[in-house]
Amino acid sequence: MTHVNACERYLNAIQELVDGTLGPIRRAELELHLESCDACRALAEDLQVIATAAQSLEPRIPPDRVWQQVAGRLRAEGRVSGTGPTAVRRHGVAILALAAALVLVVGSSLYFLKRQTPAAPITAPPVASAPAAGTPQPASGNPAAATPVQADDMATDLAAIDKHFQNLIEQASTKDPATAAVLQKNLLVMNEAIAESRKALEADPQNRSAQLYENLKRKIRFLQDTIALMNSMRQGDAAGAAEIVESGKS
Amino acid sequence: MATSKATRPPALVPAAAGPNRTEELALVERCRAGDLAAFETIYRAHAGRLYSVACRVLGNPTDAEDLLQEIFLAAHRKLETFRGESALGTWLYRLAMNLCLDHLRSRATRSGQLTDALDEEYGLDDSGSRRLAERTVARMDLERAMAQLPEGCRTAFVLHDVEGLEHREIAEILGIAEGTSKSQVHKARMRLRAMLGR
Repeated sequence: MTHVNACERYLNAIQELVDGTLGPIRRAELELHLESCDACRALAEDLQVIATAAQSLEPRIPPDRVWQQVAGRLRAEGRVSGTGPTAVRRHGVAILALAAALVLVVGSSLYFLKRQTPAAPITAPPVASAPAAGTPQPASGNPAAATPVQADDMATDLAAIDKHFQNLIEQASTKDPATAAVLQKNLLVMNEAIAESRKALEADPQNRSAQLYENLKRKIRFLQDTIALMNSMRQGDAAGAAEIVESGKS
Repeated sequence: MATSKATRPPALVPAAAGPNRTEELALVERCRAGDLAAFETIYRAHAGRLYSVACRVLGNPTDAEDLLQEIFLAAHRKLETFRGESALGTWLYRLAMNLCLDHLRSRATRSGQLTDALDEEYGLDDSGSRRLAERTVARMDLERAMAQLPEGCRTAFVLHDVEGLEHREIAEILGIAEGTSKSQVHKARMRLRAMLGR
């Protein structure tokens, strides 16, 4: 034990050796010590292995749905010129635009809730009801003037827009019944999770709001994925659609 | 003993070969005019690196996906202010790190956790039962262990040992002292050694 304590003074030098920033004099002193100390030599070698492994980590590839969601939001906000698929039926465009607008409205409220009221109990400005056109109204336009509502009201709003997504799923079922089944199953699982969170929130309002928040967030992501999936299917992007479906199964 | 910094590329330079500076400025100009295809070119050139660092700093891919969206939406809004003094990749990287840190602060506030305040000290005795130098450290094992680190030392470790930034740059990005960056990286390595040696 005394030996280990004596070695403590070499810990910084060992780290700097791994960093490559140890000066020549201290390096010579450390190397002398390492020749006679198994524990310090093992530490230096292990830390070098970790640093080398960290350098060799490979880049991760983001799922393509991220770009589709970015592009969708830029289009919905009117910040880019439309480059959408040309062979899309008007009825499909209307439903997709409505669905995207609804997700944006509820998602914006959730984002506002996350940024403005991090501590429980969670409150948020009122969520707009379904807009008639594709352009979403900012839900957090004037926080000071907004009447606070409980976070679980947002779950009610999300449940209310389920029927629009049921339409999307029905459209998918005509082309791909298996995909529609996966979407239907995920929607059911998330609705059950949200219902459970709301029960828990009623029982313990101070401590369960984070759980409801996470479940609402999951559902919004699912709804965004559904829109991305429908776009991929319409554009004939089978690989993109398959990737979204696979990620939805997990 | 070989040192890890000798072969490092210059820090904060985009790793992937993308468009040159003139091409970048032309792309940015097209983005400002609302050209989605131009913005997609920028996204494809930089999203991989930003997603990788976000995954590792935040500790999970789900949050990283959300953040990647926010990064590129914010980038599109802020492109008006991009003057080309630095490479677009560097500009995006700084924007991404700012949003990453905002996310971490927000998460810490929500969960009421100040994880680094709970740090334990790891020393020579905490090597676990298996010597790392005598075997290969699988990348997946390292990724999993990194995700378990406290946020402060995980961020410093990712930026230094994975991303190759200097402590000076990390200190500037994170708003901490250079010495704090060093000690966080050192602490992370000691914890990883203990976790990987089990």
